[in-house]
Amino acid sequence: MSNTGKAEKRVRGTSGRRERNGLTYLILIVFMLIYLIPILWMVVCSFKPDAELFIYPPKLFPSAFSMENYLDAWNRGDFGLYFKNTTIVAVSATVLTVVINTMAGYAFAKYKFKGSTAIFLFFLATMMLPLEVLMIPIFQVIRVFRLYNNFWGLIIPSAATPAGVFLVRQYFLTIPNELMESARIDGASERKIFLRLMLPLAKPVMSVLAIFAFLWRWNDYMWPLVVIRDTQKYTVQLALANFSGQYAVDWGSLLAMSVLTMIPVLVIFVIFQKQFMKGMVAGAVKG
Amino acid sequence: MKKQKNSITSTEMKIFPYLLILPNLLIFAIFIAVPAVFGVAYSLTDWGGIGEMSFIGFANYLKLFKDTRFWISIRQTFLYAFIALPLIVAIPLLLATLLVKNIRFRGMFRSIFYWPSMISYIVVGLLFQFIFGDSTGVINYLLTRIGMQEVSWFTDGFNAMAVVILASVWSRSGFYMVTFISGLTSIDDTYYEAADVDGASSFHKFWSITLPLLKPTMFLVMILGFIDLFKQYGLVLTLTNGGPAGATKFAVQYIYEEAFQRFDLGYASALSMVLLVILAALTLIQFKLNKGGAVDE
Amino acid sequence: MKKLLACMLAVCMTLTVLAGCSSPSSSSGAPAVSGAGNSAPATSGTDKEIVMDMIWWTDGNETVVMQELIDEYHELHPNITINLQEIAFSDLDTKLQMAIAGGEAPALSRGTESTVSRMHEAMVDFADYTDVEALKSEYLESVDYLYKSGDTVVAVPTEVTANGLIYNKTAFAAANVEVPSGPDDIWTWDEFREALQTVMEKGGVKYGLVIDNPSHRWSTMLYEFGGSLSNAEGGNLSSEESMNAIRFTKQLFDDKIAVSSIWLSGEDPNNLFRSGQVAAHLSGTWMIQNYDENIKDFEWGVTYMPIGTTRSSVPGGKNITAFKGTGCEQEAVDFILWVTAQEQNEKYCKECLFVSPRKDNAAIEYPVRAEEFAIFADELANTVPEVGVDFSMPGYAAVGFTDLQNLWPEVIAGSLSPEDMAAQVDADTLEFMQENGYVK
Repeated sequence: MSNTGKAEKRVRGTSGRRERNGLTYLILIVFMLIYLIPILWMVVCSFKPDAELFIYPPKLFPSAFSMENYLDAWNRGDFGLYFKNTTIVAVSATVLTVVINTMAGYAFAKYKFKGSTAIFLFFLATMMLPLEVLMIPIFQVIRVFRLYNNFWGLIIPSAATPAGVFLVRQYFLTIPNELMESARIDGASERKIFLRLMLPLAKPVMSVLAIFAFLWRWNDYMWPLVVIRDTQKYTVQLALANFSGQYAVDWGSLLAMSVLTMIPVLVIFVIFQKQFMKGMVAGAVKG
Repeated sequence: MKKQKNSITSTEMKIFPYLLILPNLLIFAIFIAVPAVFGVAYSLTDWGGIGEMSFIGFANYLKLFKDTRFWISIRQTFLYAFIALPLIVAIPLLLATLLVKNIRFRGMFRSIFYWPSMISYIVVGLLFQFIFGDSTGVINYLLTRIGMQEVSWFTDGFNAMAVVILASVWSRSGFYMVTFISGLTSIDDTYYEAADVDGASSFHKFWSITLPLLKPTMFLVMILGFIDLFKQYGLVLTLTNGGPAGATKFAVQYIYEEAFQRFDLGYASALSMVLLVILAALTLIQFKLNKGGAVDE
Repeated sequence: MKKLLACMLAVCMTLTVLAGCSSPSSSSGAPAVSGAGNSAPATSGTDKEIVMDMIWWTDGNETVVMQELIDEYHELHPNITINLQEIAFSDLDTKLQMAIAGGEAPALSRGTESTVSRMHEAMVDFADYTDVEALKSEYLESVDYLYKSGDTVVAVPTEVTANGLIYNKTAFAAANVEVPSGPDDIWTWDEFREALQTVMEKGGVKYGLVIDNPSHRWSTMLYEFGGSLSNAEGGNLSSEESMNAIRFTKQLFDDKIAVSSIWLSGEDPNNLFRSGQVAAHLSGTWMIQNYDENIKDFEWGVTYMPIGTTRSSVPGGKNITAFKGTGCEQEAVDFILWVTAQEQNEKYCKECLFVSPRKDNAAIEYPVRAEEFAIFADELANTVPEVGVDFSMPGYAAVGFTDLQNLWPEVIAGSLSPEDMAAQVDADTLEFMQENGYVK
């Protein structure tokens, strides 16, 4: 009985899937074109000589693919160094973000403690101020803590992200409390429940957080602007901004370096994306 | 024996959550809250960022009530946020729903939709100028080629707002798509299997299983998206510079200009506090309405 | 309650002040590489190691040329190291403000006339370190506001810019429109307007004119029509002359001769001119290098600005300044005086294609585009004194020019009348002048 039911379902499932997938692919391809065209354009433009960037009528392809922009830009600043700096900062900050935000998000989702709602709303409120207006006092604080012109000044203050805490909190809300209750009855300590039981379950959200944290830190502009003084410690985003002068922007170089800048973020995405797919498979097995 | 153990657990239960949130709390307190207190103090002065500051009481706050340009920028911000928010929720949700299915090239599709989130705003601005620019844009070029009228994308207030919304959705939806994917993958497959047995249609499954169970993620995206949109600044700056004639000048840009073009940091701080209050009130309302965004039992 | 606020405020202010005066040794975090820009206090005359930071931005190749000069200086003074810290121009004010308020002022910085206007309180008074009378005598009088705040010399100019007219030679030739042959035969604004219309009809261009921005570049037209932003009594934008300039400009936009998207939505004027669709660009000397490198599809040139009731340009430019409280003010000033001296300045202006503010560098031989430079120099020589009056009020740029920047788009869009704009700017100007003691 159950056997036939399953077989029936499988048949229905597959045929239904095929049908739906046709539409799925159609929608995805339409959106893909919309999303991809500006990006492809950007990549193509980065290979155009400066003189061809703004000609009218616009031409899709350059007269000859030239590496001029890449070479000019790379030679103008020490981009190898900037990439190294940004990698150090982004990787350390990402690790720190994932650790402390997972802790906090878990606490907000799974414990009822005094002031929890107020503190959580305070966390969210930190997102609501235009920090640019507060750059001067932030600078003072950074300086008092001896973080000025120091990579730690980029890593620590920005590691606490309200969005990250929120993300983890919402994820843990979907995990049933019964799991914790039964562990408590078995005599497990809170620390053990968190580390042994809940953390493994949080792998998918932690990889999502890692993807986001890396993106945030990699593309961050405000904190490096406040914290960093020496050109030798510049991040890629600060270096990119230098292509904008008072009267003119060096668009060719800017486009070329922007293309290179995207690569690490894309790599991180592809790596961690597999991680959260694994989390999914594990979930399915568990189910 | 058992009782004793329980009491240990409850002390631990009392302290443990505070320990968990401590690192975040410290960082926020030191690096955001302390400067924000300075910000409150500045808002009571006429400080310009350099030189002397003198205490002027609530004069800045009185001034801002009469500052029509500020309130226009707030109105435009609301308009923008309320139109863009549904799009920034719906499109990523649609993409995410399709991309949790076991289909081919799933990873590739996901990467492509996430890709625009990596591009800095100045380049997004340039790309959309390439496409929509009134005089140099591709669309207007193609329109003239097929004998149609050019469209004033950036010199007409309505069109400019539409382009800004389009660019925002384009550049932000990858982020929310990934958020939705993570929310969707956390939904237990058994729910769907049960519905399959009942022969539910896929729309019905989406409506009665996915959406209710996705509520925490939905709530997250709504709040983050709203704050994000309400504070929009970088993109507009490079895309329209707030134009035409203030049609896309949003609150944060207005505040920033007061601070760094007019050098009235005191006044800009007062405006920031107003922005904070508006956002906090709206978030609080959403929070109350959604009971903190937990799944309905 | 009020007391509490007052106390809090007092504490905050003390903190700020303390930070501003704190000794440089307490600066910078643990792993600082080459020491802070304001390292150990210098005892002049000795060969103590000095490291100085210089905030810098670039529009073309200035960084390269300046770095060469710095290297040269380092060879002459091996104990002095200068680090160029490149930033985006749009961050200049923010970065300086943070550093100065935070007691981490850089030893040196590149600046513009608006930097002088805004930050003069934090800049060194050159009179404390050198003979300023001799210094002043070396520079063109018309660029006073580029380095002086009131009567105090707070910087030394490195280059001047002049606003002027760049035109699309190919388009003008195609339309058979001649540009003025010399300063005696220049267009009136009405003639110029007709010329633009002809070029739009026959020259194969879509637009007549792009005007860079609604404040600084547009003000060239304001002065040419005999108007100005201020006069001895207060605002002057509602005067008949100023209103003529405003109405003429508005008409150019209404007739679609001037491109409105530049002012309305920040479309890049340089890119638009580079696309070859525009007959003329009201811009300035700084575009010569950029266009020389980037325009290959058509010929371009520089011609005389049309004449209103008078001729005028608006000078601008850059300077180098030193800040107070860095502990190496003397060394900073010494470097500035060296790098702006005749020989160094000639190299800098020649290689970057700039006009020099030094009287003894008036006749630099440029490797390219010498003809265009000659025209700009002539424009500069015809600048009216009203320009200096408007520009030399410290802090005024943030008022009058910001107003123009914000209000002009509304006038073009039709949501504000020219008269209301003028009235509003005049009111702000008067308020500023009263607050700062220019009028009673």
